[in-house]
Amino acid sequence: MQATQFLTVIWEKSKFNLKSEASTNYLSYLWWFLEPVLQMACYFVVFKLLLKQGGPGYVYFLLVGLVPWLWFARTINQATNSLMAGRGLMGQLYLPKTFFPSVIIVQTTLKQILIIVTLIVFLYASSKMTISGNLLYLPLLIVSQISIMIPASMMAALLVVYINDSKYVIPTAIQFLFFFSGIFYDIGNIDPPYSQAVLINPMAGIVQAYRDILLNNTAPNYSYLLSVLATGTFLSLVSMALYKKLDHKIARLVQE
Amino acid sequence: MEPIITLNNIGVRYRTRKNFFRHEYHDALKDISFEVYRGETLGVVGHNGAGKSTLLKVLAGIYTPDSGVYISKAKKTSLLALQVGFDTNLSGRDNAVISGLIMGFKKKEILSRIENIKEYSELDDYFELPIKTYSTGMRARLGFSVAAQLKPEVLLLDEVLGVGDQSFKNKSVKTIKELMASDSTVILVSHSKEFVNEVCQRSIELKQGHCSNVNLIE
Repeated sequence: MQATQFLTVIWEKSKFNLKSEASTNYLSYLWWFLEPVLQMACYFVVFKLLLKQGGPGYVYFLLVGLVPWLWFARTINQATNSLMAGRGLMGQLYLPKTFFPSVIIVQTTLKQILIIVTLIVFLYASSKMTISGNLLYLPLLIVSQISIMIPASMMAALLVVYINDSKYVIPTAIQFLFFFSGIFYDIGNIDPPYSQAVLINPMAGIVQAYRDILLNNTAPNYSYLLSVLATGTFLSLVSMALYKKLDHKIARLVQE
Repeated sequence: MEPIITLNNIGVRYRTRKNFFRHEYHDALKDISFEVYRGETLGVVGHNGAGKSTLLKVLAGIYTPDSGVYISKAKKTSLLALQVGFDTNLSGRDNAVISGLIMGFKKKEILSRIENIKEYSELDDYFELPIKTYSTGMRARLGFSVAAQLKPEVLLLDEVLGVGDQSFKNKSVKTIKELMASDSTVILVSHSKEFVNEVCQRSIELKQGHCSNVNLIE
């Protein structure tokens, strides 16, 4: 299959999946926007009302953190099962196996673009955000996040093919990462030496960068984002090479 | 005649886990050698567990054999099975498009033939409804229609002709005969010897993973 045809198939299949997903729920597309709002409400009640944490504008603080986090978590969780779920198709014809996690990534990214646009409109309408040149960093930020989601999704899916039990471990690992990504607190409040250590988790820096751009109207840590992008791209290439090498093995392993 | 697919001493061995440390192996295919010629219709017959489906997967390039050599010259590897990648929440039309795309056809090609697919499938208004509302026979009809109307270079059919009602069955047999007459290469897997004898030019008989017979059918 040619590269352009392969990309077209991924693109079209992702769009059809979204259509299919929306057709099964009563509120269909609305759920994409309700999900972060409901989660935000939950954290707001726990941290602001019960634990009396979080400063002014905590609602916006939570929302801006949750939107990129949910994208990350949902993508990895869905991708984890993607190769196993694709076993029927794999048994019917030859497809490069990167197809399965890629569809999930494209699918969640399409959704995320709509969600981010809505978030920006909402923040602007509630005058929490000013339109400035800092918004130009947003594409770089989104691409950096995608660059780490690609290898994470691919490796998670591959791991489940080889060790089935890891499908129970991966969601727990994501939950674990959640607490170290500064979603409901500001990682800027962490004292050294931990303040640097927490940035080893790229999602912590990425969430921080979203807040810099959308809430604080400051430029994000540019060199940090570039190093995330470089590492992510390198790991993406490694995962793709690994998929290429194991391509036919995967087709057999998922059936056995 | 020019071979489009060549199999040379192909062997496929499955591994099943017996307990935590030990595995058991069994050979699904052993020393299979034959050629598939461009434009022919080849039948593969055999009992359940004879290795027919495994052989089909090797022919389609899905499995790489554990031993032996597999050479395919099909340029567009649009080897084809039925009901490829169907999503039950989507309409027959959408599924036909996805199915065609995954098989390697261009979107334009599919859209230009989508009305033919609809007509051929005899699904009428059901074509626009989610396929979760379809009966098994209707799904099979849709799958077969996509395959038949898009005319791939090599068509692989795995026990598909037992589904659908009698009139659709007759129609599909007629279509396979038409494809056979055209330059499509058709490989048909079935346990019905009579059917294979009726439509194929050559047949291969599998017995417990061995190729026991290569017959020329008059």
